[in-house]
Amino acid sequence: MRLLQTLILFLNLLSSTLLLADSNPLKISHAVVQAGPPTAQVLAGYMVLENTSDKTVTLKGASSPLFKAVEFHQTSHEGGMMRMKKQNRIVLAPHAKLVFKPGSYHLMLIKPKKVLQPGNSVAVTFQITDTKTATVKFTVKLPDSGMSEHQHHHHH
Amino acid sequence: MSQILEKRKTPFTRRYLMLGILSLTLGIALGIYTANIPVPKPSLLSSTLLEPAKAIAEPGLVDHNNQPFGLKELRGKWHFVFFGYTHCPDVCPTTLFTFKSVAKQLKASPELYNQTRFILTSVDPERDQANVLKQYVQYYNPDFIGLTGEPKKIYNFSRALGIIFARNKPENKNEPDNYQVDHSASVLLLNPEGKLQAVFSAPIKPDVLLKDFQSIITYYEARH
Repeated sequence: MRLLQTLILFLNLLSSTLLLADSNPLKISHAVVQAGPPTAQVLAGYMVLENTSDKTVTLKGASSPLFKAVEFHQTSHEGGMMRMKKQNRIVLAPHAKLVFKPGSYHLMLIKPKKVLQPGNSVAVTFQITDTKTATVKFTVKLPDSGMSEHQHHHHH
Repeated sequence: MSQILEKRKTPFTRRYLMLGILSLTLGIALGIYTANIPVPKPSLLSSTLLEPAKAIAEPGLVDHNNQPFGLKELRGKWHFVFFGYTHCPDVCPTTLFTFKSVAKQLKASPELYNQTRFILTSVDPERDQANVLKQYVQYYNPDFIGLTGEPKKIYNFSRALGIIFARNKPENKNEPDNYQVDHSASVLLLNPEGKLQAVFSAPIKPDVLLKDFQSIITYYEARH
């Protein structure tokens, strides 16, 4: 029994080491949640995504413990109207860069579980492939104060 | 002494009278002259001026305090009007932050600030009741106004201002309250007669909006 446990532990360690050794193909920076009214049912998240690898990277979903749901959306100007389209996945070609910004791609953070103030942090976990996730710390900011310079990026 | 003064008074009065008549004549002549010179159109950076300004029908809406809001309330001040809804995460907050920034800059000239108001008209009256709108707009600026009302009246008001919107079906049938509303993102400027004077196309930058607003006011005042 003990041998089996040791073996499992060893395999776990090995697998996480392997994952760590596999360099993160996705760089996420300037991660900001735009501050909004305390009663707002939705907030927008903006960021810069960069695929630093030679392979296509696909974001399959996102979640946050502070929101009921997190979705990818794209605002587009069509027929005189601003349309919001839900994107089920975000595909980044090798070495592609995609900016989530007002009037374009954004994270739609739905039903906050608490009132967020400027300066608060929001952890958002991205499902990158079926097995990989990346958790990024977004900072709640007012648009006047500009975008975040520092970034926190963890890879699991 | 008093006799001398009496004597001098007559020519002086006459001279003033002559001067008065002359300046009045000149003034009238100048008035007629300038009224015939067209005031040069302002060169605008991001907006289209409507000439003549377009009159609109009675909106018949309610404000965020559930008070009637119509042409009577629109008269006497300039109004920036945007159509949006509180469940809109991207375009609406961005525009309201633009309004906030413009309002902040306008406060430097209190007279102009008091002549100007900012309105969010809901294109989602079902979810945006007066109290919801109040908390929403006043987060950006306590002087901002939220308008809502009967769907038909909101529709008529939007059409009068050249705005279109369309409510999408909920993506998930189990969540009927989770839907998006597509809408024009233009900002409308109504003059103190309650008429549509200019249209600002999205995306709108605070500095550009402010500059055009000042040009439009100058032009408007020169003609009124």
